[in-house]
Amino acid sequence: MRGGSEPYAADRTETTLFGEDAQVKHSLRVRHLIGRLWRALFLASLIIGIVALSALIYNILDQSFGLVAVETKISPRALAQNGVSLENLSTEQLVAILEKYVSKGVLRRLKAEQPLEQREREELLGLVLERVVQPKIVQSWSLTDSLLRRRSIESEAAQRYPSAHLEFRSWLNPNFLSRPQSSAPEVAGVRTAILGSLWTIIITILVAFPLGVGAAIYLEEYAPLNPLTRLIQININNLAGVPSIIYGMLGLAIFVRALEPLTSGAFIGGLVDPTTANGRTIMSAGLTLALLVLPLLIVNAQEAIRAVPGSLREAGYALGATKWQVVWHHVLPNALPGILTGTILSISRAMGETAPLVVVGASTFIVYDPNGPFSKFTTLPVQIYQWTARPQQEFRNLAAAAILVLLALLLTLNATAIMMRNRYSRRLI
Amino acid sequence: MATATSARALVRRTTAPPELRKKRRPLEVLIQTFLFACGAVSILTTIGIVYVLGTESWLFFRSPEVDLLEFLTTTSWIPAVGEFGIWPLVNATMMTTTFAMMVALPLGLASAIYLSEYASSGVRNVLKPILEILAGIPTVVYGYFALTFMTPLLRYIFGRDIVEIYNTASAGLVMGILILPLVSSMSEDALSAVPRSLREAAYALGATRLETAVQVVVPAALSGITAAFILAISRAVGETMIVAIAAGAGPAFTFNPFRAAETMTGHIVRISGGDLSYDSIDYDSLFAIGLVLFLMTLILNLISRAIMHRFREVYE
Amino acid sequence: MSKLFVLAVTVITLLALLPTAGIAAPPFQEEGTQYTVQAGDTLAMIAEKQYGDKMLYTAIVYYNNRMARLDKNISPISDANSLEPGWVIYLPPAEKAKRYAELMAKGVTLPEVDPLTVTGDIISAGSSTVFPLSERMAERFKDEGYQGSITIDSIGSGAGFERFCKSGETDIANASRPIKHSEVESCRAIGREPVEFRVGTDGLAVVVSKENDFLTNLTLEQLAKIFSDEVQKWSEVDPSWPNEDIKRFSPGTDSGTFDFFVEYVMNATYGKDAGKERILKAANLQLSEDDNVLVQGVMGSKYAIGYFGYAYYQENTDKLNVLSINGIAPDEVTVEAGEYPLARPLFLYSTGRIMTEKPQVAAFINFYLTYVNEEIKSVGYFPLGAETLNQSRLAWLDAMGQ
Repeated sequence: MRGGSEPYAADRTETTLFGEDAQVKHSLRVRHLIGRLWRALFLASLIIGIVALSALIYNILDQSFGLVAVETKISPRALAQNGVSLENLSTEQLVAILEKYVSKGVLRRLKAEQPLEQREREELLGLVLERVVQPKIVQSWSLTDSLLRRRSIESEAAQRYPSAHLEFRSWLNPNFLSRPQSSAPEVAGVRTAILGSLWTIIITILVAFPLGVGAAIYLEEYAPLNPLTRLIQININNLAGVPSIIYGMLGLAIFVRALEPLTSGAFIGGLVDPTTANGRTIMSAGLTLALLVLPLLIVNAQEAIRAVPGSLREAGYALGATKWQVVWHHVLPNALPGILTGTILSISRAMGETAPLVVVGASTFIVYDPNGPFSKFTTLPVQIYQWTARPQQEFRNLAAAAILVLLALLLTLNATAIMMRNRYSRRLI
Repeated sequence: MATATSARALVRRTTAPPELRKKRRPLEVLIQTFLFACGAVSILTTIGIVYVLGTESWLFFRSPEVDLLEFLTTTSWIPAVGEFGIWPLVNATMMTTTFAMMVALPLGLASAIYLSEYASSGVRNVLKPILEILAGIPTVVYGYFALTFMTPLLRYIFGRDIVEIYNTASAGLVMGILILPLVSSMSEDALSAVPRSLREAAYALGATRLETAVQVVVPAALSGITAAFILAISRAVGETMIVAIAAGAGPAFTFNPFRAAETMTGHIVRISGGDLSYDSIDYDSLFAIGLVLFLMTLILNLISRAIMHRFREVYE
Repeated sequence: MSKLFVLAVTVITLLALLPTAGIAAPPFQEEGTQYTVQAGDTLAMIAEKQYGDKMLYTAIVYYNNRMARLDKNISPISDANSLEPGWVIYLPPAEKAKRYAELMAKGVTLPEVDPLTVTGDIISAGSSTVFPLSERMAERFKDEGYQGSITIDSIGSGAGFERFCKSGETDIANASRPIKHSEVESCRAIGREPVEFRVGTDGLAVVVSKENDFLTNLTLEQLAKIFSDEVQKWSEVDPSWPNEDIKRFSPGTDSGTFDFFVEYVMNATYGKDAGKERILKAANLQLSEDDNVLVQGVMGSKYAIGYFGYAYYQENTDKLNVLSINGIAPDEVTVEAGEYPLARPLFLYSTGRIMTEKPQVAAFINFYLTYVNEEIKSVGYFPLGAETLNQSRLAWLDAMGQ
């Protein structure tokens, strides 16, 4: 602005329309100063916000990586025979070790799958390492500590766990993504939770997006100005403030109980197991979350539609378009960026919800993959919540890694919406 | 309406060719019906919520230990010994909400103004989605962030003896951080949607960028900004996990933000997840709290609507 | 037209919301006889009179206590040597009494389960305290070849009983407190007769911050006093302690841990029903449902004291000090032997009918009771003594009619 205003000042005569030149210059300086000051303040606000959120992310990253002290139940050295190290033992020797140390039940299962003697040596060695040596994490340190105080961690570990060795562990690793949940933090994963979260969110979006945009169009374009419309409008704003756990109770009453035949899949014969017919399924969870995010979606879409200038509509009508044609071809494309903002916020909100899902019936321990909208499920936040409440530090590391997974998932899910918004987002004339 | 009828009358009188007569468009009617149904879903949701909360609350208010007058006027909430005064919970909710708003509204609006009026589109396109995605971090994580980061920070600044380990200030501040993306993102949308012609007019009159932003763009976007604020306040009132973890879990009637106090949502989540029997009065009480919360947000919404109507400016 | 549509939808929704009618309850079968204790009765005398063998008194204690869970008119016998006149106790039929006494004396071995042959769903829900243990057992069950699917929802004992007794949708309820009589009634209303299996013990650790230099041991009376509204400052409990406010940290009023503490510490000192009010009216009392949050709280001040599950102390030994109670420190030996006074039982509940109709449930509970003591330490709880475990296994045999 400032650069642009100076050439004009040079052209001006002694007195202008606005008063004495010196006076104008002074007031301009002051106004620009104030402008710069506020600009700095606005930037500072943004930076404060970003710093606060970075602190949060840092807290999560700090827990997701770091040194761990690993102890083995039986050290590989103790399993060496006659000076031959564990890695080089023969098949028979490995089988003997398994027979000796592995519990009866597990052995029975392993033998039922394939007799031990017929297995490859590599496979047996893997089994010995997993089942007999049993590495176990006894303590973990944060990323910051691992990087900055490595020396003192080493001495602390040597003193407290003389038989343990230190290693750097990324809690976020391929196994973590591909394994189901477990009570042992070393092998626990989030596979079931990721699938459950995805299924749930897809149903949520499929239901909430058309409903939300539809409601917004109705309210902005069609609704007559009458008490009913006002009621709907107030009601939507009000629903945005209802605590999520109450939506959970609503979901329990309507989707789990009243609409059970629908949500358990019984109406299409999609029942997974007839002895356990109940409505605590992905379907119920998705529908509950859809109700939860609906107000957020509607309000955003409404604001976006309202911001579309009336002249656009009038131009459409003047050309003889019907109301719906105007809405579909002119209003909606122009309102899309705002609608997508609402969608992104809604997806984020729905992905992070815990309380309503616990009420609706997310399982805390479940190791089989959901096979459709009518199966029982768990979601990432439910796992995260459950892990943070555990006494052992290792579970909190898992929780942090799971949060990173959740964020990555959100970014992928929202990528399309973000790109579309950036493309359509342009200043209206 | 009046023009439509007179137009129809005109058509009839001049016996125009049939193709000019208003066509019956069944699809349009169908679409309108569908759209109305979409709007009606929200009404059904509310009916459902009121029904669920109402029936259970009825059990609560009907029991002999509870007296509606006492419920609304006394300041001690100890269900275990039959004292049901809602105020400690309401008070704590209002305190955490106030703190959250003190963070989220000014910072959110200022960030939005910066993003919309000053920042380059590249910066905006990167920062905005990042901020929005942070809204997807489960709130339980924000709760632990409050307890293990914000509270120690407050204790360091104000002294350990003044700031208790659980306090409403810490929970409220972190809740502000949680809501910040919602406010900034929605406000930014509203600001961006203000027609460029308005800005250009202001610049043409010699206004600085700040003057344009504050005196022209913000008033023009006020409807959207207020909508963001209302959603933010509603979200703060209804937020659960942060307060459950960081604000404390004993109902206490205090105005000191550095002391622990349990909010309405905190109480609901604590009781519903506990070992308490489902047929105890304590359990029924949480539906009554939910109903009060519902009414509170309703009143809040009505007030903010009134304010919005007063200041709203409509531009073409 | 559209208004009519809305009306129709509303009516349908409201109709759908109406509660479904309850299922008629089948009659509850009772075995054995009730007996009102007379002045001067001892258990041995009653056993002698009833069965002609005074050694069968152990069977009476066992059966009576099981029935007392289900029927509020029956008095539980906590100490075999003290009976009070007027108590109504429950005597098992003679042949059952003999069997119980015999099995308890020699120990019960359950029929061996081969998880490889077990299929079908198992649905369980309940206490978040029992959750880690059940999770571990379920995992082992799967590891040994179970082909079906098992789910465990960690939702709190109360909600667990709600799903088990009211909506009847779960096969097993996990609980960190005994079932309440009102819950037994609603269970019976839907035709379920709950059977209790004790699976372990959660020790309660009374802890102070590492900075605290004046506490190592408390008597139960001192502990009750510290957590009551009777005192405000440490020096009021013992003049040698500092003249500072006590900062109290306790699990929430809705937790089984809190109930346990009130019953065994507060009520023991202040009298039945008085303890709860005393602790809740105390100043500087902080309640939290999340024990990690309590850990943070106690760590935060030199003058803080709190109690919670032992596992949470175990993970924070470098930040907290655990106190001895009546001179006994909590550890495996003292808890298992029942010497340490603050130990809370953990339970599973199911019914004989579910276990017969869904053999996978019976197999899982059998497996649980067989191997629980091998796994329980690794999740931070204490194993059951041989006698208690025997009683749980006996309950399994009984429920299966074996």
